[in-house]
Amino acid sequence: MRSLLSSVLAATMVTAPMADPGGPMGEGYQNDRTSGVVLRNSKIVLSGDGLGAKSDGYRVKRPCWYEPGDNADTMLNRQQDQSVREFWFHTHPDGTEQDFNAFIKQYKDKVGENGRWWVPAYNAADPDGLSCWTGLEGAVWVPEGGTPPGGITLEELYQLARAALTVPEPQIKLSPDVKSYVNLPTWVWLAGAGQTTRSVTAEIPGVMSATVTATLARVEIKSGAPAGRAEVKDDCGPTGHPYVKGGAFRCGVRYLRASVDQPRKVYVMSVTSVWPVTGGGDVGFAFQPVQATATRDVPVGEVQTTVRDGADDS
Amino acid sequence: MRAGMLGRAGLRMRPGMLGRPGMLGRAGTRARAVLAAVILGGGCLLGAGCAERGPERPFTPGGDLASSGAPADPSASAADAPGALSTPWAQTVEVTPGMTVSIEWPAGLDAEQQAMVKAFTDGYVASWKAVVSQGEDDGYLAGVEDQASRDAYTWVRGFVDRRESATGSAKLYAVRVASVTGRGAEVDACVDESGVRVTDAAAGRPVARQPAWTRPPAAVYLQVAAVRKGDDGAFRVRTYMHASYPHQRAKECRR
Repeated sequence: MRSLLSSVLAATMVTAPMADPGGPMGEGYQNDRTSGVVLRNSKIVLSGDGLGAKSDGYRVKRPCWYEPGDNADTMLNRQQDQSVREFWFHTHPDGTEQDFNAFIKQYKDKVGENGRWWVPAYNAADPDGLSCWTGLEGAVWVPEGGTPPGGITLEELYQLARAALTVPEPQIKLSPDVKSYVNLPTWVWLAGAGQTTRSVTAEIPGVMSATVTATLARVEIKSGAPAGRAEVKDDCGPTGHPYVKGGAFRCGVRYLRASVDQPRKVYVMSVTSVWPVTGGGDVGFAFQPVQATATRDVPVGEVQTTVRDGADDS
Repeated sequence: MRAGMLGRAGLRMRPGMLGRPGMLGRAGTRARAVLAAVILGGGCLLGAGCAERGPERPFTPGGDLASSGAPADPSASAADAPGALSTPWAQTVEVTPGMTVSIEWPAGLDAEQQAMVKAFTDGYVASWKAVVSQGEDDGYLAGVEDQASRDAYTWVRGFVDRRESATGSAKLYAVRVASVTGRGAEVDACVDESGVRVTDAAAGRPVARQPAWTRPPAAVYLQVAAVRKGDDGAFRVRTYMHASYPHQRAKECRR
């Protein structure tokens, strides 16, 4: 059976005239494969300075949902639009006036009742979003104050905000920068971290809102060397410590063996910035931190050095 | 309360739902014919305009409902095929003399997945049938709903309004069921229409200015069909999406 949504959409979507007939059908995908949330058929508004960077792969538990839409009068007016009628008869070549009136009747029957039509929406960035949305009904009538099965919840709105929340990829700074040496402390810090909090708000205007905030808390370093070949100093704070001559070496790696036997003759150091997430805690929701990782090749040479106590600051 | 749905087959009505137009006293011969044409291989029935290559055909539709007059039970099409596809195979469907669609069926589809894929492939073939018949054959509308019905109708009308038809061959390959959630599923397929030529419907000759989609790289693209299983057990395309060159997903269709 064909769903109601056809007419729901017909009043809102205009099929662009084609210069040449033929070719692919339907809307084209955009080149946006890094976002955690791409809302389709939704009234949810995403905002905040945590949007726009690369997603960390967080996935909402259910990538489709119903959300509140038009009241009975507005929906009926949309369905009685002339373009809806025309398309209805185009796509139902056997349809009669009686059939169309019966189709419209289901909207007329709701006029005067308190409630809303809830319509399906989905996250197109989720690999299962489209199939999930396709399995939903075209629209469901919900009396005032109610929520239909599958209706979006506050928890799911928080999940969407979390899925949309991104942080900048860390820019690794090293000292020495180009090449390190056995036993020489390699300082690590992040450059251009900018503000250390990022927020995203997901809101259904006039209905509910959810804000999550990530705060840069620490840096985690992996030397990229086999066990026993490096010592990691992890007292890094949120962004590590830029090299200071004579300063204490607290954040970085001291390589103990040269990298000449490694692929490409380098160790691949990875640095992860960890951003714990707050928001939703007051209503019982908690999220794992956002993490962003970058890597640097570190060639380590075999220069012999003499290390004395207190002299490991260069 | 769930809003009513309008389908095109002779379907059972449920409380709160509206049947399709055909069911309100008009679910007769035409409905069966439409369903048969759409459900059973886009008109490619055994011995009728079909040719297979590759391994012995492991997929056997349940008979030519259109000619036999058997009840059009949509759930009995692919779902009743004797066993899942164990090996890939190729099928060539004749849309009309002079135009074919070749379909490379993947291995490993179970009966339900076959039905999902067929909803797409049948719709694709049926749309070309509508084009070459200049809209007379409207069977393609039985396999689509919602936005997909508008897209398909507009697509066909684009040819008809310009008195244009088509000849040649189109290919569907790398077909897969990308996702299944409840009643919904996403079917992805690569399409190569570099072998299609747009013709003047009256003269039958290729038009001088062939559209861009008949030439590489635009001729090769990814077509996505979101299909939904209705209360009658049949899958219909609810939404089409696509990726065209130079989108990465379209590039992945090059071979």
